[in-house]
Parts: sequence; C-alpha cells; structure tokens
Amino acid sequence: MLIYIIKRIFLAVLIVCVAMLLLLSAIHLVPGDPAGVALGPRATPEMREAFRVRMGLDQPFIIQYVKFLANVVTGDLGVDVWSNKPVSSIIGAQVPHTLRLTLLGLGWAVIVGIPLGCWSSIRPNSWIDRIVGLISVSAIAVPSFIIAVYSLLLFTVTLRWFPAIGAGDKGDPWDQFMHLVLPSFAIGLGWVGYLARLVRASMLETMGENHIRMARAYGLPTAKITYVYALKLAILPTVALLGVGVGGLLSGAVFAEIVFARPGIGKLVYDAVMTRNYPIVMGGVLVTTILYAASTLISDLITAALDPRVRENL
Amino acid sequence: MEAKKSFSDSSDFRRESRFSNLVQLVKNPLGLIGLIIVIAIVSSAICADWIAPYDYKAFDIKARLSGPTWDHLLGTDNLGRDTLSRSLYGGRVALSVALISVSLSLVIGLFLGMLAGYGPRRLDSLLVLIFDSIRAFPTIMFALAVITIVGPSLNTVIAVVVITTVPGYARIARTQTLALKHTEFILAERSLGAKPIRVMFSHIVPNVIAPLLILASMDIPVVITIEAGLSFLGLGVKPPTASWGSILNLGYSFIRDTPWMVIAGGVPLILTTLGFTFLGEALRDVFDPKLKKD
Amino acid sequence: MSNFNNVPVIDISNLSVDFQTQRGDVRALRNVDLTIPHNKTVGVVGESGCGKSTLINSILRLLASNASITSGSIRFLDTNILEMTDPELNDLRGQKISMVFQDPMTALNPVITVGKQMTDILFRDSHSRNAKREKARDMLQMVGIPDAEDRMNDYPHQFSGGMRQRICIAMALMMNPALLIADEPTTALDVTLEAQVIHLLQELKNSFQCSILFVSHNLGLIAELCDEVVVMYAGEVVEQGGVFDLFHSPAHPYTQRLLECDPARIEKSTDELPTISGRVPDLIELPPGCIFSPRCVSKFEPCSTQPPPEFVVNEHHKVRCFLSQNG
Repeated sequence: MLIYIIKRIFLAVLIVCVAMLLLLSAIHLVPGDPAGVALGPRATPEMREAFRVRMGLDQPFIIQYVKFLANVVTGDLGVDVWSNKPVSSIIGAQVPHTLRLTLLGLGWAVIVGIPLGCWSSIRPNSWIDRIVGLISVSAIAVPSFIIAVYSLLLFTVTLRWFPAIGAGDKGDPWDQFMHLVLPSFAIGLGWVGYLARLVRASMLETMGENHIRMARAYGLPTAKITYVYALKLAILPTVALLGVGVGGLLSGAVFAEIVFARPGIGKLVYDAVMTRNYPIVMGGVLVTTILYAASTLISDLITAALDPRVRENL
Repeated sequence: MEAKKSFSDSSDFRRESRFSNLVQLVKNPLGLIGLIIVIAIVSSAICADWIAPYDYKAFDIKARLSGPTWDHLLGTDNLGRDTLSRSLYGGRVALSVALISVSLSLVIGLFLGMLAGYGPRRLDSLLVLIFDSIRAFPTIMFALAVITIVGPSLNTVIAVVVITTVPGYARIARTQTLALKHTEFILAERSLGAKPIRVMFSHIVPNVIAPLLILASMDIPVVITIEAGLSFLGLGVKPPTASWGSILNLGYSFIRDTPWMVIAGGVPLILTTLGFTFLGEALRDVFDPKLKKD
Repeated sequence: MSNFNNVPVIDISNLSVDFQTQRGDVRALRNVDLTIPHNKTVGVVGESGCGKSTLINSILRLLASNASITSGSIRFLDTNILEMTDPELNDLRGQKISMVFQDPMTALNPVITVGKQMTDILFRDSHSRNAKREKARDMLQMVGIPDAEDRMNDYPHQFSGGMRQRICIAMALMMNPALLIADEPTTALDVTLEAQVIHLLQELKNSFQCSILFVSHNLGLIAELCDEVVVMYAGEVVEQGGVFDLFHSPAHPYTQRLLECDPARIEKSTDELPTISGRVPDLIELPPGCIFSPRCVSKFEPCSTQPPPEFVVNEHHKVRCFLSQNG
C-alpha cells in the first residue's frame, strides 16, 4: 500500500510538471509576445525589454522552466505586475473561497446524485428511472454558467430569496452559506447528473452479479442487499470519478465566481486576464492544476483504501 | 476483380444496415427530439441571412433594452440591436466553431492515437504522458492562460478546444490500434511486408472511425458550451459579432433592467446542447451497443 | 416436527415454467415431477440448457422477471412455495433451504469480510454478535478452514477457489437447513479440489441430517454421492430412480447414451469420444411427440406423434419412453 501511495504521488507530481512544461512551451512557441501583450501596444521597446528581464523571459526556455519549477517548490510564484505583491500570497488568500465553493458543489452532487442513481437502479426502465435519466442527461448537457445566470435571474433578481453578490459577511457563517447556495448549486448540478448515471449503471451491473443472487438466496433483507451488499461495491467507480469531478467543478467555479461576483481563484485569474497580469494568470493555472491533481490523487487513494482487493494486495 | 466485387457487396450491406440504424434512431423518442432540434438549429443558422428580421449589427437607438414587441420578437439590447437576429447569427458562430474544432480534433486525435499505438514504445509513453498532462488542466483555466498570451479571438477558442479535446480521440484510437495490431489479419498483412501506413489506412482507420465519430457527436455540445462560455467572459468573439455567449454577457450586465437578453441568448444554447446530447446518446446506443450496457 | 419424517422435504408436481422472450415463449420446464425424501440426496443430471437451473430457481422463487410458472406446485414439507408471501419466502431462503453456487470465485461479496457475510446470514437470530461469530468460526473449522478465527477477518479474494467453496458450504449449513441445494458445486474447481469438496459433502451429509439436491452433469459424482437420480432432458424429467438401478439398467435411450458418453466409463481405448448426435430442440416450437425422438436411435411408431406417459419400471424407477410400455 505504501509503495502504491508513493508511486501515485510521484505520478501526480510528474503530471503537474509536464502540464506546466506544456503550458510554458506553448506560450514560448506561439507567435505572440508576452511582453507586448502584457504592456499593451503603447509600450516602448525598452519597456518590453525590461519586462522580459524582470519576468525571466530573456533566458533560454529550459532555464526558464527549471527556474519556474525551483521557484514553485520554494513557494515563490513571482510578483504581481501591477502591485508588486507576491503572487503566492494573493492566490493563497483566494484558495479557501474557491475550495469552499467547489466542495459544496461536490457535496450537492454526492448528496443528490448518489441516492438518485440508487433509486432509479432499483426499478430499471420504470417511469421513475426514465425521468431521472432524462433529468440527468439534461443536467449534464446544460452549461453550468447558464444555470448560474438563470438562477441569479430567478432566485435573486426576481424572487429575491438569495443574496446577490459577494461571499457574505465574514463573521456570519449563515450569511456566507446563503451566498454559497446558488453558485454551488449551479456548478454541482451537472455532476448530480453524472453521478446519478454512474451509480445507476454500476448498481445495475453489481445487482446482476452472482454474490447478489447468493445474498438473495439467503433471504437477506432487500434493503441490506441494495444499500450494503451492492452499494458498497457499486460506489467504488463513483468515488474514483469524484477527483475528476473536482476538475470540472473548478472550471465551473470560474464562471460561478464571475456571475455571482464572488472572491476566488477564478475571479482573480479572470481579472488578471483582463489586465494582462501574466504572473497571476500563470500562478492561478498552476494552483488549480495542483488542486485538481491532488483531488484525483485523493480519490484514487480513497478508492484503493475502500476496495479490499486493491488494499490488501498492495 | 474478385476483390472489387466483394467490396461492393459489403458496401451494399452497409448501406442497408445504415438505413435500419436510422429507423432505430428515430424510434428512440429522445433521439427523435434531438434530431428535430438539431435540424431546426442547423437550418436556422444556415438560413440566418434570409430569416433574420434585421441585420445583427443594425442599431435602433429608439428601441433600446425593449422587451418583446411585434417589431422585435425577442426584444433588443442596450444598443437597440434586435436580439432574435443576433441569436440566429449566434447559432452560426456556435455551429461553425463546433464543426471546425471537432473535425480538427478528430483528425489530429486519430493520427496521434494511431502513431502512439503503432509506433515505438517510447513514443507511445511520451504521447500518453502528454495526453494525461493536457487532461490535468481544468479546461477553462487552460483557456484563460492561452488567451492571456495570444489574445482573445475565435481562432484562439478553436485552438484551445482542439488541444483539450484531442486526447479523448487519441486515447480511443490508440487503444483500438493496440488491440488491432495483434489481430491475425493485420499480423498476416504485416508478415507479407505491407507498409505501416498502408496497414493503418486500409485496416485500422475503418475500424476506429466509428467510435471516434460517436465521440465527436457527443463533443459538439461540449465545444458549443466552451465557445459560449468564453464569449460570455468576453474572451471569445469580438464585438459586434454575435454569439450566444456574448448576448448572455450583455444580458448579464443589464439583468436588472430586462431578463429578455439573457433568455434569448440562453434558451437557444440550452436547446442546442440538449438536442446534440440527445442525438449523440441515441447515436451511441444504436451504433455501439457495447457502451449501452448501463 | 417428527410427523414430517414421512413427508418428503420437497414435493414438486406437474411444474411448468415459461420464459417470455422476443421470439416467443420458451417452455423451459414442462410437467416436472420430483420428490426429495428426508435425509436423502437426490441428483439431477442433464446437458446444459436442460432446465436444471430453472428448477433450482423455481424452488427458491428466484426466477428472472420474464419467467412465469404456468402450472404445478412445489411443496416444502406441508406448504406450497408457490403460494408463499414475501416474508414467508425470506424465512424459507437460507434458513430452511440453502444453496451452494456453481462458481465460488464470484459467489462471495468481494468487499465484505467472510466472517461478516457468514454472520449476516444469521440476521434472524437474536444471539449476540460474539455468539454468531463463534458459530461461524465453528462452521469454518468444520469445513476444514485452518486458523478459522483469524481468517474470518479476511476478504474472499484472500482464499483459494477450493477454500471459497468450502466457505460457501459452511454458509449454506449455518442455519441447519432442511434442504441443501448444490448447483454444480465442483464444476469450477480442478479435479483434486473436486474430490475434496465431494468428500466434504459426504461427511456433512451424515452429520447434518439434511436432504441434498445435487445438480451436476458429472455422472461419476452423482453415482458417488446420491441415493436417487433424476435425468432431465430439454425441460422434462425423462427418467428417475435409485442410483444403482438407474445406472445399471437405464431404461431411457437418452440415459443410456448419456452413460455411454461418460468418459470415465469408457473402457476400451478409442480414437473418438462418443457423442449424442443432434442438438437439444428449440423450446419455443416443441415437436409433437417425445421430446427426445429427433435424436433417438431406437424411435418407432408412436414416438414422433404422441408424448410418452410415465411408465413404472419398478417401485422407485420411472421412465417416459414407449420402449418400456410392456414393462
């Protein structure tokens, strides 16, 4: 098990490094000039040159990359172009907001999606199953930012049930929660659909297996068969997918933060794109990529820990 | 001559089975609904020049931010532009971005996947590592990073979409190629000295194209969503070009004045993603019963 | 309870089961009569697809949803299983009738410990957890699992195939059932393990006063283990009788051919294994006469026009074949 964990962590780190290498080389290869883009058309050649030196863009590509990695390891993500504050502390301040939003979105998906999937797998092809199926497909298909805009229109502008913008009063957890409800719902809805479909499919597969027939032949209560014997096994692929879900939710969070004017990495990076604040954008992409890699890592490890066939053999 | 004959036989057979597949597709109620929506959206996008009541960039300053009227069925935006006309032209943008990027992804993914599956093992591992790394980015974050450097434009959107969706196609093409590589008919062909290129194009491509097309049909709504999303953020089409995303963006800014712009930009987008998703699912059920098993 | 000793544990009469399919109704079982007396082991033998599994699933009422029982009754002691309510059925399953499945590799839940799966069967008992665990441990020891105490905390994949089948047998006997159904319990095992499991069943049969319904296509195992044999072909019982009687003087041509085809009984060395020519008939469109007549080498006048009734060879030996018409 320990070797597996180490291997898996190593793989996650490798993926993040290669991903950043790809991003940096893409930036290096495209015809655009980061300095020109960042400083705008009115910048003089001297200003651009100074910018390149300051950002380390004048050095060979490999040196840039190695330096970048070395800085990342020490927690140094460079400085903000405009305010000269360290990028790591600017981003660090926003991480909890995004994390809270993403995890609550994931919470919706788990709390609503898994029971829905179970429920529709109990009577496959019944009208309940068909309706749940239709809702799931629709929830997956409709873009999350539309859900965000429409829920803002309906629940905030028209009905005034929920507060409009921001993250809520700092000292008031209830106010903060009310500010989280709509955005987390908007980004989580698609994953409600995904999880419902996934749980349904793997429950149906499990219910057809021999050991479930055996549990039935022993007259075990139906509820015990469904929610213990089958679900314990059928939940494994779902848990494995939750990490990937976090990636989707992080993308959704960008929109939710912008639509609901919430603080967070998404809003920060978006504003940085608008002001061509290159270090903030790179730092934001790096941090979200690390968050994503960490969540897939965690969900893989949880899956391995939950499955005795994997756990006991490692 | 013999070979030619058998080929035409098999194509006859294919045509027949395609027809029955179409019947099966239409029999599935969601597939039928999806097909109708898709046909409606595609034809309205193609015919936008004739059916749009106004030019999409024509101002009507007197009727700014109006709700639905007989003159403007879906109201107007802050510059008095007719929202219905802009929506119709927005469909054009959404569909052409989707078509271009999905075709590019399919071709590039097919090529890279076959290369990984057929080529030397080192190249395979390298390509797989790159594909995995591309999937490691949250899509929108990657798009924001690229846009910061390259600047926002429709071409950037297409490039971002292609880069992030290619791994999906490549993965399928690679697995299929690996599976086919060791089947007897390809081993026989190779032992007779057939060149890899020939084997790839005459045997592997026909076998991997079906699952790739299914993936492509299911990717169309995803691509439309990304384009609309980036245009919504103001990072896609440049004004005055209309896109569902940019209509939504304007609508969002004036959401307290009028709900109509948000509705006119969002409803076609929702309908289109639903239509393509229903159609894609039905296609998958018909052509790839293995995947249907859930 | 003692007055039940004369009543058979299972008495199936005139049982017919259909499966609804897109092509039409598959008549999987037709007019099956079968009794399992107290403390006796009854073997059911037949080719795959002859209705063995449908028979077992009918007894436990675990048929697939497209199956319907069109006629007959299955009596367990004095009650008709086919008229039981769901709570009554759940009482029957596992408690009075239990089952050992064909493939021990898939019969146990992979994510629940063996001990937990065993004690879960005792969910009807009000005993303490520890008492249940002790019982499970004793059962595991009895079927020959070493270190039973420790191994209760292991998961199924940590046991070999033979060990898993032993665990399944232990589970089946946990509730001291009146009837144990063994559905080809050794087919998935290799020959040495097969011998061990059969030996175990023989021992348990003596110590646990229960009847066994042993389903197999292996005639050797049936001869070794069973008191009575039922031969099934294409959804019908074609012959039944005492093991000795039936194996030494088979009356039905199908049974005769089956015995000739058993590799263990072939004495001369030959280049070709004997087979029964032809295929099991389509059970949607049944032939009008004897179900075996299309493949039968000794068919004559009435065989292809009317179904043969049951003829009595001797008190325990019955056969459905016109050849036995004259006794």
